[in-house]
Amino acid sequence: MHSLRLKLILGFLLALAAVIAGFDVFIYTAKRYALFEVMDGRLYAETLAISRHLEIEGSRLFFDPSEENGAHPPLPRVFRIVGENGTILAEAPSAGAVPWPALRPDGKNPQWRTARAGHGRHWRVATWKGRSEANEEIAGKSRPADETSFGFVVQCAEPLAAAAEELRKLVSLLAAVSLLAFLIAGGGSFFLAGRALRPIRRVNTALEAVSETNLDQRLDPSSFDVELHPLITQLNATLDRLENGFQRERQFTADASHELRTPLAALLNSIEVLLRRPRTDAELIEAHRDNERTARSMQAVVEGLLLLARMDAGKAEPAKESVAPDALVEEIFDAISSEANAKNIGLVHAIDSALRVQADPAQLRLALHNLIENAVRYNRPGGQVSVEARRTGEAAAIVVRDTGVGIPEDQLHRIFERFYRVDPSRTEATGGCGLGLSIVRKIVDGHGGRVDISSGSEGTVFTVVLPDA
Amino acid sequence: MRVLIVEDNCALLKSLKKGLVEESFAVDTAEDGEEGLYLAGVNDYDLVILDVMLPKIDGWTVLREMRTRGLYTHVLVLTARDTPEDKVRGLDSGADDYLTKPFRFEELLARVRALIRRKYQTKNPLLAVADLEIDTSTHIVHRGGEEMFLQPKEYALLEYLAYRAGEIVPRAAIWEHLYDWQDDTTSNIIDVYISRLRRKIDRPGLRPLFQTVRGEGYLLKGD
Repeated sequence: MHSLRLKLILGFLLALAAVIAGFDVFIYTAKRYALFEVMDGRLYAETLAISRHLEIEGSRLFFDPSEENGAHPPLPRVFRIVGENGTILAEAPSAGAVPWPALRPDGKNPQWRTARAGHGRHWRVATWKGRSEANEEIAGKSRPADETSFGFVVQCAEPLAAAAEELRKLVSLLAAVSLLAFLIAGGGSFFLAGRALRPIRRVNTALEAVSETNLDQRLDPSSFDVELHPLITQLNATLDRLENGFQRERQFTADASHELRTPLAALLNSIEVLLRRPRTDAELIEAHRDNERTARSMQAVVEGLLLLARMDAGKAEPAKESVAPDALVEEIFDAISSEANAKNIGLVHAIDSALRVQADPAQLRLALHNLIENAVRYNRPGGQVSVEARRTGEAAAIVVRDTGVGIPEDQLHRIFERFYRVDPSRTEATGGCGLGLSIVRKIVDGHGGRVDISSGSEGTVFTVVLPDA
Repeated sequence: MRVLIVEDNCALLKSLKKGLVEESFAVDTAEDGEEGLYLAGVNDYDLVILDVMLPKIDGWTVLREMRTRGLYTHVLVLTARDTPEDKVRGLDSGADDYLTKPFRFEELLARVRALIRRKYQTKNPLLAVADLEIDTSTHIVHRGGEEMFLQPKEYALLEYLAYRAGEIVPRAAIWEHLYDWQDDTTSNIIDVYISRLRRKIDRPGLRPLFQTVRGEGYLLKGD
């Protein structure tokens, strides 16, 4: 589960468990060490005490437990003295209960060791190694070493039950305390994780309040913790982009609906008015002519929108081939010659008939048609439209030049927008659908090229650059 | 009744004008906001039909500017925008009514008649002066239960006088409300129509409803 809160809590509890466990192990080990140290010291002292009460004569060793009386410290209750050959020289009556560890033949017995017996009845055993003559010295008596000297070990044992019991109690205590600490910290972390995540919930609540209808709302960073400021700034930037997108979308939809509804309204109104009373043939013919023109203008908008939508969806990939621009331009000149003649506008081109460009012929034709048609429509009467083409390295450039009034500098970057018109006194006078240049830009973009524009008082120049590849 | 249509789509403008003229309206037209604002300022229109997306000055600005200049002509806004925000904005800018494109011409006519009733402060589409009854929605006129057959201009004149019944209406005002600015008649034509109406409505034996106030104008009065 991808819950941040759960992750925070689990992470925290894991760390906490590790700390508590480490702490417990440390306490347990320290306690155990201390217990054994005390016990080992005592046992060692006992072995020494026993060694002081040994009587050695020749090759024989005597130990009289009765001398224990008044001895300091009191002699241990569990001990044994073992000779070099493994014979038990002396032992306490209770020594039989001890699982004495086997003595090593090389005599290197550990000073302390734990003798294990069943059911946890372990014993701690201290071993002290002596020789008869050395013993004399230790006992404070002087006797020269002779061939009768012999080695022996003194062992004292103490049951570990008491220590084990103490450690067991410690373990229970530690377990209880640790569990309690773990539970308290766990509850605390649940609460704290909730608190830590509260600002995120607040951001969420604030974001929920922003919908399509009030996209202009922004989150106020000052009402959030400083750690969240980058997030808030980023969210606000995203909202900015979203709002702009919606704004453009709304503008486009409004423009598109205007461009379609207005001619539709004209068409319907014309028909409705026509049907209100009997009409003469002349009236009917005139109305039909008007309606046809209106329907054609709607057709231009609809087809333009469909084409743009197809290109937006990437369904109009250009099928590039070698195209002769001079033939293409001449075809376009033929198509719009009547419109140009009506405004007394000259159409000229100076394109080398050997020149070839790599393009989709239908799309390039449409793009050039739109540019040349615009150049005629927005020209001054008696003006000129000239088209040139040249090759520059790996690309070809086609230039359409008019002698119109030009486009104001501040509007140049907007003319490729859909339905944007430099002069809003549009449709009827010029007949454009407002999509021509958008289509040009889209087609040229699809070819991996670009459209440059420059405009001045002597006219406007569009340059279409098409790469060969 | 005289109406100004401000609309930049020539086809729509043409068919609207045709339809309204056939309903006995005098219609002036403007194709951009600037011209519309100018005409609204110089003529006394009974109604302005105003498109929103206009060249030069947009419809909202025309509307605000009209109200700022103290022109309180009723305005019917015509637009392709149909969101509630647009309607609120339109009405809040001082529009009296709002119609989205495309619309039914019948509905437009009904709204135009309603706005004209509002201008002349009546709520009854049936105008009555004594025993003369004028149905403004069907243009059917009765006097004493008998239907009168009137030419469109005769009807327009009668309707205008009936809306202002009891008032002395100057000849120039009548002329201004019956003819658009392109019409090359003079106000003398009003006298011709008044005499024709008198012949049809104030028949011998009936109580005359038309009165001429010498030097001032005409008066349609019941009692």
